[in-house]
Amino acid sequence: MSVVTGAKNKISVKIGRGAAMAILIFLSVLVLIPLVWTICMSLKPDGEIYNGRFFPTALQFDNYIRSVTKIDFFLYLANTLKIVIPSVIGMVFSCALVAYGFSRFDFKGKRAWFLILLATMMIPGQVTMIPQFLLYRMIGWVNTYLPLTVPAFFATSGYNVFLMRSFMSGIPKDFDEAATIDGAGPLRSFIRIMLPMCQPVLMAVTVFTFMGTWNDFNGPLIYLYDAKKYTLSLGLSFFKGLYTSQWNLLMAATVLVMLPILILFFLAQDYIINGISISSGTKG
Amino acid sequence: MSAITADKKPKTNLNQRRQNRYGYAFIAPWLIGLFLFTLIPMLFSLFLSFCKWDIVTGLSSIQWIGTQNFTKIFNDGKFYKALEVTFKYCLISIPAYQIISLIVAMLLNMRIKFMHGIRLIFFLPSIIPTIASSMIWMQMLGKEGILNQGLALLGISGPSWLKTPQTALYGLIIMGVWGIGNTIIIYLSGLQGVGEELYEASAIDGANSFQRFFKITIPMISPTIFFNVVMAVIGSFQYFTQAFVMTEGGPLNSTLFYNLYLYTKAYKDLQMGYASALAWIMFVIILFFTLLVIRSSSFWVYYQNDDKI
Amino acid sequence: MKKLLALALALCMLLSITAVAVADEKTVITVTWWGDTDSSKAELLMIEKFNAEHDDIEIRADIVPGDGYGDRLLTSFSSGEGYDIFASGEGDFYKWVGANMPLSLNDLIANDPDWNNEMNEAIYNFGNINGDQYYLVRDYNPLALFYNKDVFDRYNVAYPTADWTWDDAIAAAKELTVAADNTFGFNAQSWEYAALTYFASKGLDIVNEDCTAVEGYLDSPEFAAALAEYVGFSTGDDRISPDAADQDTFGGTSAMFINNKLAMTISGAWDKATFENAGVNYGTEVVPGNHDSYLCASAFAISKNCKNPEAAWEVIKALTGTECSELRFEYTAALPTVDSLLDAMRADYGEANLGILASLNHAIQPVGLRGAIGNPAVTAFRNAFERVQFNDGTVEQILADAVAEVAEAIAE
Repeated sequence: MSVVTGAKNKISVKIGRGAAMAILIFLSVLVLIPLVWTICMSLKPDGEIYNGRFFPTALQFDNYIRSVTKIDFFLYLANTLKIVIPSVIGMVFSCALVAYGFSRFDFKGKRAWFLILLATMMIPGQVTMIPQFLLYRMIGWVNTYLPLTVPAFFATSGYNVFLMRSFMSGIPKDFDEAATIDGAGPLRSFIRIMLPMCQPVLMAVTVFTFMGTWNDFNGPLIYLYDAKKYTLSLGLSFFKGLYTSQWNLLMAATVLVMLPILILFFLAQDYIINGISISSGTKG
Repeated sequence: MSAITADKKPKTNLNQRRQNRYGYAFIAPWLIGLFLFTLIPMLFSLFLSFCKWDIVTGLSSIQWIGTQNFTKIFNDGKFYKALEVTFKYCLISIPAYQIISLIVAMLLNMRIKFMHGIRLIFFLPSIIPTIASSMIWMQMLGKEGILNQGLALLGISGPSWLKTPQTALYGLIIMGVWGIGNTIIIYLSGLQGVGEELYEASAIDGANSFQRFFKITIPMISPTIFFNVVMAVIGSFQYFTQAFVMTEGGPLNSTLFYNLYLYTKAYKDLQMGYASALAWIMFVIILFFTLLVIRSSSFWVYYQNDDKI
Repeated sequence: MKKLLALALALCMLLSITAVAVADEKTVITVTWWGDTDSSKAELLMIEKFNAEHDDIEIRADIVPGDGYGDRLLTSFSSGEGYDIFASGEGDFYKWVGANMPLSLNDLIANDPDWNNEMNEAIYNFGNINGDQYYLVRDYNPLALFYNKDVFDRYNVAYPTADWTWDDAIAAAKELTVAADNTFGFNAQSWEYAALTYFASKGLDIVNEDCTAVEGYLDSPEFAAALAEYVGFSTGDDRISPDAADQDTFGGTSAMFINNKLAMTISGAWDKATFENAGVNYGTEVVPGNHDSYLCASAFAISKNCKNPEAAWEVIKALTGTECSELRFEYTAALPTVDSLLDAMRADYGEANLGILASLNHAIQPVGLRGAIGNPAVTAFRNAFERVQFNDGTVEQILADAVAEVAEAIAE
């Protein structure tokens, strides 16, 4: 951690690090077991689904091809992207705008509005689901992707706004004040100064929104009536037949569905982790 | 009043007007969305909580019954059972998950080789769809599952966690630890924001690592903690999915979470009015605890810009 | 932004109006059921054919994943519209009728004297609730006793026969329970259909004959004794049935049966495919005792909201008729609902599965379908069962509570 400390300290740091490393590896193994189980199940021949053994006796990569062909995998993938891409874009920008408003301006009623923002998350979704459906039905949006994408452009996720606001509040005001002195309006200082500094949290919201929309089951289930419009998460549940379950195919499809999020996170993690710092810290 | 303050007053007003104008302009997207998409369903469910409605016969069969739902709820034994389960869960899981997330985040914050890969691993559980993870956990929490095999090493004979009334709730809490990837990420980034020079300065002052943790780390990431705690309060009281998929409230109602009971009332028993009333009671409970956290924050949260909620 | 939204709104309305205009030429009948395209091949073929033959009616099918079927059904009906025809499992038959959701088919049947109804009478009557025909069964599964021949052979026990009493079955189960091999003789499940089948085949029921009362049935001393005995099968060190922990350990009862760790279980015809695919050497037989066994079914009903019941009637007839039943057997091996087809397929059904067909002659209606008190009685029974399982009071006390629970539910 620090170079200033003496040799003795260095040794204890090394021991500490070793111990921490050991704990981390132990925890990683714990976390990985279910994932390995998923992959093993996805490679099992049909006859071995129920044999209770962890590893398959033969690796049946064919399951992946079967799972892709059994459902309209690529159609569902395309449909999912039609929802995910607009949602992510809409969510990231609208939430950033709103969060900036909450973190930088002292407008009247701000506290009350923010509490309302939090309050919208406090009502169990199970009871707003049907009223929401009725609302979208009234305006003719049922069986379109609109109910699943348009709201994202209106910062409807309190979580994301709150997260971004907290992050922005950790960035000293001097930065945008300096820009204002240079004659930039608030919108310009938001775009030119704030957005670039917010990259980490923008990335985090991107990943979280991507994940949430990608795996969303209930939304597409309720709003999409045409099987040609179904998404991957709906497609996945087709494998879970009522009486018989093709667990190996289900797990193969699960792995395929997980892959994009995995890649996205791997690519984005540098941006995210190097500071969604909502701390009062000096970084930023 | 002096001439200076008198002179200043119109200026602040002007400034305030600008603050109002820009503030509302920036939050406008959310405000529009609030009125268009969020508020109407919320108010509708509030209205339903004073009604009787079986859903399937359509809107025309909604029947106003005043406060009957609420009086019934307060005489409903299962309501109290569900509250008990939910409070117990919150009381344990909120602090436990925060502490565990913070510890893991601190471990992941070290500069070690392969940290990229390791971080990815800890994020993985959040990605696996519930449909798959619940299957896996059924086995891991079973009588001969991994958890009990670990306990056996310590000489403890564990139960079949989810099938025993006394342990099912704890089984779900243990399982929940697996899904705290998002919280870990947010803590991790908060930790990254703590400047190294602060630690170096304290090291020169001879502070040990415990002192450093409580005197520097905690205050510096207090806004992160605040964010995570508020979200945990809002989320934990509404815990649903795993109990729905894995225990269905059993055995002996030991995992009858509030939202699970509410869901059963609405979608199995077709009592949407009753369920809406239940939901608004939960709303008040969550609001109370959230406000409690927000109120307390002035004592322990330190903001760069004095930007309190 | 607002202008844009208004424009978008106007556009959407315009689109929906045009959509209606186009559809006006034909009467569109919407149908929904759960499953996937693979398991619904028969229905889809039938619909294709129907649409080609009718220039006045068009069927629009909506297959929903089983996990979300309930949510989809409720949301779509919440507007007062929903589907013209919907599928339901027998467990919900009574609930939907209670909520006034399906249309009674009596008038439609009366107005259609030419209807050539070939459905097996008992199966047809399954859709009769309170004297009105609401449902037409499309698919059904009798429960039967499945036994694993390899396990029986391993311990030299004779296979079950049609004249077995439950004493014979339990005696065999004791012989087949070998702790050293982690093998259990019988599966005394908590699943209420299996449990209630067990009691029914011993001549015990939880409601009276016309399903109007539980007193003297659910809380009778005979029932209490039988319940205690049944739960006892899966508790204690001398258990002959796997308990919850054993099932965790060995991956559930299907897995135990497949892996030769379970000798006998009561299950439905759907397990035929599971066991065949896994290559188990198994047989089936009627349930011991008086052979009474529950029947599971799924059926179609016409919604009360349907604007063209006559058109819907044509559709529902096609989807539950002889031709569709034949297709269903061909593609998914679902048992035909028509006697002549049933006789024809007997030879191809496989020696091992004949017990399933034999069970059909002893099929009884699940309690939940018999009267208004049925579903509350089943719920109370399920709760009581769990309490007995976890020793939450004496059996007598628990069953007295269950009777009170039913009374309370009825009062509501």
